[in-house]
Amino acid sequence: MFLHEFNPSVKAFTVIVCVLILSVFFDPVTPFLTLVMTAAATFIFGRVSFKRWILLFSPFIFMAAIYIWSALIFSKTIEGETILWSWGIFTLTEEGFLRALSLGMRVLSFTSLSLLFILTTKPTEFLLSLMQQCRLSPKLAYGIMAGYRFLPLMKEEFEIIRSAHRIRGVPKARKLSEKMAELKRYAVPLLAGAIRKAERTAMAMESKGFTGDKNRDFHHKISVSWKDWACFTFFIGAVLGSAYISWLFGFLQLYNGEL
Amino acid sequence: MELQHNRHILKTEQLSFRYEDVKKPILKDVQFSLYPGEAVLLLGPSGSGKSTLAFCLNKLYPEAVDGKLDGTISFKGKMLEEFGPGEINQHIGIVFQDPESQFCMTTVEDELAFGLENMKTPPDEIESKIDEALELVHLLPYKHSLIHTLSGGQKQKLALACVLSLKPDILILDEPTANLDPASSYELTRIIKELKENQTFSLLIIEHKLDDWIDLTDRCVVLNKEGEILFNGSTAECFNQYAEELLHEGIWLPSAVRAGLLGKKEGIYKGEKLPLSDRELIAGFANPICALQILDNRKKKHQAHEEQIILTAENLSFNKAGKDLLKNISFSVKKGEFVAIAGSNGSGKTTLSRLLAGLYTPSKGNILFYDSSLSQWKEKELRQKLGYVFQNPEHQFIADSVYDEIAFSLKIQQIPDADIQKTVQAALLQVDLLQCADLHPFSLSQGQKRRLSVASMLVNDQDLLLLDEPTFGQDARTSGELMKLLETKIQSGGSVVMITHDMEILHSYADKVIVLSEGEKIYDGLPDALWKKDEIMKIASLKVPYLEKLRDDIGSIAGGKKLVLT
Repeated sequence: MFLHEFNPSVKAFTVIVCVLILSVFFDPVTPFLTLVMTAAATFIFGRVSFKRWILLFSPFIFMAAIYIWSALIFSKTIEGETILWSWGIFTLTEEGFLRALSLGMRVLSFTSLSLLFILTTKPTEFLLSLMQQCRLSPKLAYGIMAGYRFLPLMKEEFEIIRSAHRIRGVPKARKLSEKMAELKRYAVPLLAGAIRKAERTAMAMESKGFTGDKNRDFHHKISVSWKDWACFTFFIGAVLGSAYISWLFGFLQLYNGEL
Repeated sequence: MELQHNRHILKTEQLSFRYEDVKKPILKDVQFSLYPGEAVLLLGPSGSGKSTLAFCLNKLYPEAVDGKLDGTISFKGKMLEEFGPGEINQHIGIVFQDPESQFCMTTVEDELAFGLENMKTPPDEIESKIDEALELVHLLPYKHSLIHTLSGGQKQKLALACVLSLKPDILILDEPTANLDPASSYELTRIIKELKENQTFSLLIIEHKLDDWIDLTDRCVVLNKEGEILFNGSTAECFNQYAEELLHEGIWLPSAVRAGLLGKKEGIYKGEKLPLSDRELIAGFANPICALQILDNRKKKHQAHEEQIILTAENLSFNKAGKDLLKNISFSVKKGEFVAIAGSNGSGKTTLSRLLAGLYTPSKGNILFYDSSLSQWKEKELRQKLGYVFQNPEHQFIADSVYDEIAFSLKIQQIPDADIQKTVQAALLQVDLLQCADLHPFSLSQGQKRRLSVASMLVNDQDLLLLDEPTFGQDARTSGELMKLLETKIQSGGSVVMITHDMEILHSYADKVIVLSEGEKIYDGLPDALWKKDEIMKIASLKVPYLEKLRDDIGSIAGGKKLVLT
């Protein structure tokens, strides 16, 4: 079974539960194993190319590195910890190192879980599933769907307004005050344009008989089957398994307000 | 007409509508009925409330806006208010003007399913209904396509399919072809004609360009500027008796009627009634070939062209996101020349105009404006010599009042206030907007917006004016006034480069035509020679202008006669 066929609502639920379980533990091994498992699942069952994945993942690697670094440098040293290295006011202890690593791994494991969801779920299907499984109001869901279509148009609109100013010979804004004035000039027409577009789309939806009625039979049915729950169990099992392995090697620790 | 004896399907009585904060009503005492199976053309100058009427009939108004509706509308004898929410939309469907903003899903199939789901169609029937509706508009191969990848014409066909899938009793078309190239728009009318022959719905059509519609309408309802009904009766009677009044209101006439009217004035048209078809028109001329010459409204070509070239495009290419939007385009614009750019939707016309205006930078190639490359010009100086008019006038407005809109670029140049005032007054007078000087640009009517957008580009007395489809969706009067402004510009030594779908403009005004297809220049030359290049015309989705078509028709009739004689 591919992750694309995994029911989006159950998938989202799975990711949330995994994140919650992970936050109970505070050791580097559990999140690391989960990260490896999630990434592998994304490549094998999600058929996501490594290139695309790493492109989205790399900013978080950077972020994690900064976390680890600052946690290392500015960690408080508690009596009785094994000192690995010390220089002036900086002291690096083994426990401090593990804490920093745990934090970094935590960030990365959360990221990989989120990416697994984002890269294998179509927004439309997620919204349809939310309506069908979670009783999300159609008014809200279809509103979001229509809005989603508008996002790329906003950029276009911005370009148009800028061109409109340029053809009148408005010089390029250089100073900060000029830039602020420019932003102010653009904001009103940009908003006005968005509102006009939204109004038109609302009318088009209404003209197709959309009332926001909750009793709706869908053409595109998003169902939940035993497979989805099997998938759910698999992921939860994998996270718990990571914790078990971590425990076997003696790393496992419950989160106890270390940060 | 026997249809009229049937019971009406839709009826309005003393229908008035006005926006809450405006005193003047948009519609005033509108009273008309629609009968089953008939096709009615709703005419009126821009701002006469045609769209408003359509939205009222569909119950979109007054709910969607802060407006007040007086009078009654009934559908099959039942008041519109008595229908539950969304209920009437199954019976009365509408196709809007803008292909971009009438969809709310991402794929063709989902969009159709959306409407059917709203109508509580049983899920197992939806699939077959989707296929059926797509088949009707010849879009079945695109069932799983993403909507944003479709062309403008395909989008309008999809909008039509969405409405048809609900099996409406009444179909309202609100300027469905306004944004389409000539061939796509013709195709859409043919599909509608085909549908009308095989289905039983009534049609209410709002359109400016009537030629393609006239043979499928039974009746005309005309609104005047005040939103009152000026005429309600058969199409033939409408154009036969009221052509002059319609012209006076600024309403487009079908080409045959216009030619007939002109012919009558010149005393060469002998028919009793004004003609509705070309056949009638030709039959009414004593000497058709001679009449052609009189009807030919081509402007006198500027004999003494100054040979100074002011703009040269050299091997222009432009790519964006890995796509080649323009490939290796070269041409030049002379002083005092009117150059038209034509081509199908999505052929790269707008991109080219933006490049010429210096808004985009070419990926390859160079644009020379007065011997120096566009990139070497200082922004401020360039804009005093080169003007650009957007396709959508609203895109261009940046000030809070009509006066400031025109004064804007003058203020940037730090011209003394007294001079600005004089220049602005003169410009406003020229485009007949003096009385609107204090209004907000967005509160103007469609035609006024267009004139303002052009006027703001005329104040600097630029040498070159680029216009992106300035006449689309405009009524006859606005269109005429606009062309007059451009003519003045040319006569005073300026040059005009204009993108247009309007073949009549090409025919009557252009000195040179450039045809684009998929980013490549496929024609560069005189308009007259273009009409004979069938292949180019077909690739670029162009249509021959009316007079050329008439010439062909006369030729073939004459040829036919000769055959009979020999």
